Amino acid sequence: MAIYINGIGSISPQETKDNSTFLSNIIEYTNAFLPILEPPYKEYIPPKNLRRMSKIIRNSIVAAHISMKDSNLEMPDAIITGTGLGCALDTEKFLSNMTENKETFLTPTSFIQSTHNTIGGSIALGLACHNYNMTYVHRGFSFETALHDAKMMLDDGEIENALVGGFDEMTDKHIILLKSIWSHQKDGVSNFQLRNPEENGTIIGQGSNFFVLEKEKKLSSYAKLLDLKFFYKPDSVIEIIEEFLKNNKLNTKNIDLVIMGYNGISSETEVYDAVSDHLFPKTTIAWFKHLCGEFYTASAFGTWMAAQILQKQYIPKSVIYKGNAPTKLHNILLYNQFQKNEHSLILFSQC
Amino acid sequence: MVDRIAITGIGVISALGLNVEQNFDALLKSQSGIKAIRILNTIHNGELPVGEIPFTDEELTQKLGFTFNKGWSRTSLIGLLAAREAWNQAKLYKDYKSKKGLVSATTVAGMRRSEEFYCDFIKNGTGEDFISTHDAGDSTEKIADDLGIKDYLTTISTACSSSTNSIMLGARLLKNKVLDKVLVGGMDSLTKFTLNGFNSLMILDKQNCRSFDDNRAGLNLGEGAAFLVLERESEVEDKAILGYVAGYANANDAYHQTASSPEGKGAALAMSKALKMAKLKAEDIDYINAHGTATLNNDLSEGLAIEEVFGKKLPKISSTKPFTGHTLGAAGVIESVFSILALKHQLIYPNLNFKTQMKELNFSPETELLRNLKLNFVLSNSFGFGGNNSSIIFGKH
Repeated sequence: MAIYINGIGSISPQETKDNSTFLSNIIEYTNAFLPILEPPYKEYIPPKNLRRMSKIIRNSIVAAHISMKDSNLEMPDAIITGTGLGCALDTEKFLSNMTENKETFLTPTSFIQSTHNTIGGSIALGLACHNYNMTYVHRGFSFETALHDAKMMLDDGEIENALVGGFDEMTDKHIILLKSIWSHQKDGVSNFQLRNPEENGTIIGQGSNFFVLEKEKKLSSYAKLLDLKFFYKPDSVIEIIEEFLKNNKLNTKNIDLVIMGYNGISSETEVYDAVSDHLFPKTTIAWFKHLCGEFYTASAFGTWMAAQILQKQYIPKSVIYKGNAPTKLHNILLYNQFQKNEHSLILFSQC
Repeated sequence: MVDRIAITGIGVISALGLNVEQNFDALLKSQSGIKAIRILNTIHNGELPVGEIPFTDEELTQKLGFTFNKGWSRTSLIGLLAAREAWNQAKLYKDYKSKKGLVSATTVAGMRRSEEFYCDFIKNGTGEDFISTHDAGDSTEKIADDLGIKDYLTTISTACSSSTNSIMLGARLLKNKVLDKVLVGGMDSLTKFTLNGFNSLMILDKQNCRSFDDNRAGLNLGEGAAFLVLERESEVEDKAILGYVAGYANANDAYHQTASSPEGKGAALAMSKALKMAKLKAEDIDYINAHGTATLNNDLSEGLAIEEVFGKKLPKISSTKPFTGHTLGAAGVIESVFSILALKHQLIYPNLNFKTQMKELNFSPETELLRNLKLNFVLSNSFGFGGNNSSIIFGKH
């Protein structure tokens, strides 16, 4: 049974909030850390609610709102979110206050908002939605599990539609942590240089990307979600991809575009290159992390891009990594990995 | 015929003990694990009682047979102890052919180490060892690596309903034939972060907690971990079945970020949807292991929701939080293990510390250990921040 992506909403370091346009103006950054382009929050959230919300809550609610409006969905049967860190800023705030004040004079606001499910709960609260509500928090599988859970429930007939989102925020302090364990670019390097970086390393990003999945095809449909698979510390990525395509009665030649999570880290580039060389030597390869940066739920931005490409039947030049824009765009495979441990495949097709 | 979801392994660690046997023994003897703080380094030592596992990280490391615990958070240490117990009972160590997965849950993740080292690291750049254990995925991958699980792993964090939701996802993965065997559960260690967080909300009792008591004054925090092994009944082979997952549901209260709605709308929805999924009537449930945290808000809202769903003929009810404390992300699965043991041994645990019936409710919880009962189905509730409410029903083998 087909599952359709009928609504999308993206708040990212790029101009992505307006679904009628698609990366027509790419923003260049020269920091090793990409900020969010903040939307006009007041257009989406009542000011009295806005005051207490951190940026990630605001951005995610706006992204969810845009995707639901896009598909004319008022009340989702399920709200399923994925996030690597949840509300990182509120967590840090409570942690720092507690440590600095030696466990005294603490107020609960940042503690309340520090839980990973704050956003799933806030969206439900805003919609008065009493339905299924879930939050997955597993590094490079966070968004993937959310998508998979929604797919299983749609396939089972448990639900007719789902609001699915992936989000993460980066804070000044969390970047200090990540920079000590991730290979990263130096400040001053353009995000466009990430393709052939002088130094081994990535740029750190963030974003909130939401989708409405439904069983019914609509005028607003972007793409069909055919299948997805995620796998941990694989022995052979190539075999897994071949088997995944075979299970979907496809072979590598049926794939018109492969979107990969190239991020500037050379050991990961090697894995992507091997997949490209062995399985897709003649297929066009696209990438996205130069636009959104690397983060736990970056694959949600990749999903947003795949949906846009299939609906608009157009690939912006700025996202082509190898090859020429294909003449037909029917099937897209998204292959992402996170720190070499968590790998995922998402298969889309034209409606 | 429907291929039921069978439980073939259980493992638990809490303030009551290091394994199923020790936990069950304490439950039978009505021995609470809630005591003064001994190990957590906090200014609230002596003031706030907790359900603490009475071993240091070094001692827990030794129990796992490791010689050092660099890169291991307390959350992962206790999680692995419980996970190994369940995995072993289900005889999965030598299973090389099945597709095996792990669905875990946590709310605090590696916060216990982060709160020791974070501020120093930001200031001086020292002690970066905690960074890799800070996020929620770490403990899941530690357990998966130890047990050799590769086919599917993920982590859930929906506050205090987290590990009930992991049982739910595990069952769904089996029904959809994504996996053949799945380890489901969760873990949370005590942290200054959560202790001070709940303290700032003014919902911690300075005495041992009194669930469903008219004079209740808040919860006690606890720590622990538990796991279940789930398999399709048709593929259990010669292993002993401990019980079945008969039904489950997840609903949202959509009332307030932390507080439950006064009438317990989300709680009632979760219970009635779970009954519907299990194709059971309210009177088929013999025992409710309540969420029963002993906060003013939870017990009232849960109590009213139970009355709404079950009407006048209520099943027997008790909360085991006065034994273990509220173990947050682990609570749902720890209480699931207790519910499975209740079915297996046909008994109901007492709701410790209860004296006075709540004015707003028509029922009192059980206060004595009840044996030689006829229990067919037990329902367990877990409700959390963000309005996340989940109920799960276990059936007797």
